[in-house]
Amino acid sequence: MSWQYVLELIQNILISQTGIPHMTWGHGIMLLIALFFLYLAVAKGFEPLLLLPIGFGIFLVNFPIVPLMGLNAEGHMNLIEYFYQYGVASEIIPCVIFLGLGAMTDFGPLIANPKMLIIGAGAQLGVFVTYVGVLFFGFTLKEAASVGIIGGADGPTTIYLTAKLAPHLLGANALAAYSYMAMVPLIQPPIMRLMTTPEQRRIKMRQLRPVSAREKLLFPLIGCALIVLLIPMVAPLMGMFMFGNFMRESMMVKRLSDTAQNSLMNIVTIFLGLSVGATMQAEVFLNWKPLLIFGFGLLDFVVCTFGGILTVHIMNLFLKEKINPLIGSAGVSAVPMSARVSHVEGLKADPNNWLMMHAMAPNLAGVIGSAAAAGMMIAMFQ
Amino acid sequence: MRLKQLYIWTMVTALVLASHSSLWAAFGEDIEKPKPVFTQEGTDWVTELIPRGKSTPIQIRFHVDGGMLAKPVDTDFTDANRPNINWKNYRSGYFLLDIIPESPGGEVSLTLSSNYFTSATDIWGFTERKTRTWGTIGIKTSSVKGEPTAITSVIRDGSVLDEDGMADGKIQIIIGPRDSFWGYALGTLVIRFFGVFLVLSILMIGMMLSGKIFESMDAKKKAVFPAPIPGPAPVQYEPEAVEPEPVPVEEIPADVAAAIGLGIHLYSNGGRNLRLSDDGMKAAAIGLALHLQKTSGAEV
Repeated sequence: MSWQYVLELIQNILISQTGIPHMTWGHGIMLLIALFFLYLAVAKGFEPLLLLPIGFGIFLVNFPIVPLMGLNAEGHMNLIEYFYQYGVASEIIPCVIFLGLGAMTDFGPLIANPKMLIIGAGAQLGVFVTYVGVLFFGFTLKEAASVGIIGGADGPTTIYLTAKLAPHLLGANALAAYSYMAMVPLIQPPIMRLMTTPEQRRIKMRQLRPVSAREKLLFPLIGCALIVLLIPMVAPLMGMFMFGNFMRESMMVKRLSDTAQNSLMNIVTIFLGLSVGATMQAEVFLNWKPLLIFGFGLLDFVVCTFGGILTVHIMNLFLKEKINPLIGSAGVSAVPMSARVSHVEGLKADPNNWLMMHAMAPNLAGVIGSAAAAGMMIAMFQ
Repeated sequence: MRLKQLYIWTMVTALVLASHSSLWAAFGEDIEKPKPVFTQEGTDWVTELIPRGKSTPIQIRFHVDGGMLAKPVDTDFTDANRPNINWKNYRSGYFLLDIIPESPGGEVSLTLSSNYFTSATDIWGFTERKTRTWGTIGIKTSSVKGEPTAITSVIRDGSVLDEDGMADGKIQIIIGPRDSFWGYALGTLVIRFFGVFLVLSILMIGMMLSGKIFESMDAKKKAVFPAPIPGPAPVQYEPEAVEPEPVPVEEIPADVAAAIGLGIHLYSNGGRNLRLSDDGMKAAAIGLALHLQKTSGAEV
């Protein structure tokens, strides 16, 4: 065995079996992006349940020649590719998350005040404005729809729609949606103050009527039937959501309801975050589109907040009992963050004005509204 | 908070920067270009393709009267050979068709039909070759309920539509079914936005009605099983005023009182920094003993 042979052997190993010679600037930038999101999740507490696994997913797949995404030499899927294909591309995980969300949700405030559903619809304004905006930037119709839904502030809905219409934008869309959801307390208050007068912010709303257990039990059945009849495309999301809620309200399957709310939700969140992060490989992610998506995502949130508050102002023209316009911003479905923001802003205007329960109603309406908008978008491209 | 603000401003700046035309022009690549597959059915050709902005395949049937149609070919339609044409308006792509008319210089009638076509769909081709102008060549649109929408165009061998421009017994044309991209995008957008309102309004009405029903049911239930009616207020009997028995008051002589006070003082201070004479000590002891007897009942 000659020295030359040994050197060749070492050279071959270094080139073909280690990642170092394959490292590019793109990988470096993506690793920095991964570290940035991990920092936001860990140090700043921004949506850590999702940004942490997403950040780690980005971190993992941006080392060269790692067998995590894509197919291996034998044509089998690599580890995270399995998670992605069976969990996200197959649209299973977003629906399972909706099941858990349904099991967590108390529709009482919305049942007590169904008028709030209109606010949930008005807060979808940004979805449609952004859709047009990104079309001007050369996005395709499907891409535009998937970017637009970011403003709905509903992570699973964004992921569901993007996986269906524009899977290549999944990472950017999911990241934008969850980042801005974490920033709701920062994005919304200036718009809320801009669009309301101090008198309007002090409007006190009548206490909600009590909702019976029977009403709560029948709501998922009635609501699901109406929505699925009108928008069949939203059945996977809405069906799971209402199923989760029915389990909760039946109070007969506490174990199942608990599992859907906790263990199952946590398990799928891990796989969802990791898979979504893993779609953000340097060669796919590093272009202008993700940056535009982040820019338009912010605009989307702003317009959705504006739309919700504007809807309340319009409703107040016709209503005897005025609605506090601060709860309009809760029409974006960042539950319960945006409701909490409405509540806090209300307290700033009047320390005795408790808006939390009132704001929860448009917040829940926003979940239904963004799912309805997603269903409309899917139907549009069938 | 500053980090969040920095992040938001970065995104706003990115949006403003990206709005520069030279940057966003690059995004218009045709990533949804249709890939048609052609099959022959009798003398007709049928193509199956997924048009831009759709997820499911559609079919377009090509039928020619007065000639014979060879297998159509999908073709690129670049700005180089067809200027001022926005490919986004041609969601099903462009087709190159070779037709043999029955005689040189003869006319053929070309019909494209599809369920995908709407009343707004047009077939576009050359209308003026010198200025390379494209325009509608669809002459007749027939839409029968339940049947695919058909658009027919009459083409003469050697006319402006014929690529070689010669009446040589061969017609070659490039055409595309056209729908306005922005018309579709904005039209469907408005409809769907109000669709969300409509759906949630219907849900709202359903919930209001069911809410009324439940409220009336609850009211009836309360009427059938009324809550226990509060009876006449129970008579409040004034408790008889009981005179407290007089507690015998024990007379304490002044010296004993002083001794008790001293004893308590000594007890609570632990005797620190205090020095007493024997009499004083005796008095204190007596006082303390009496006090203890009074408070704890110990025999002294």
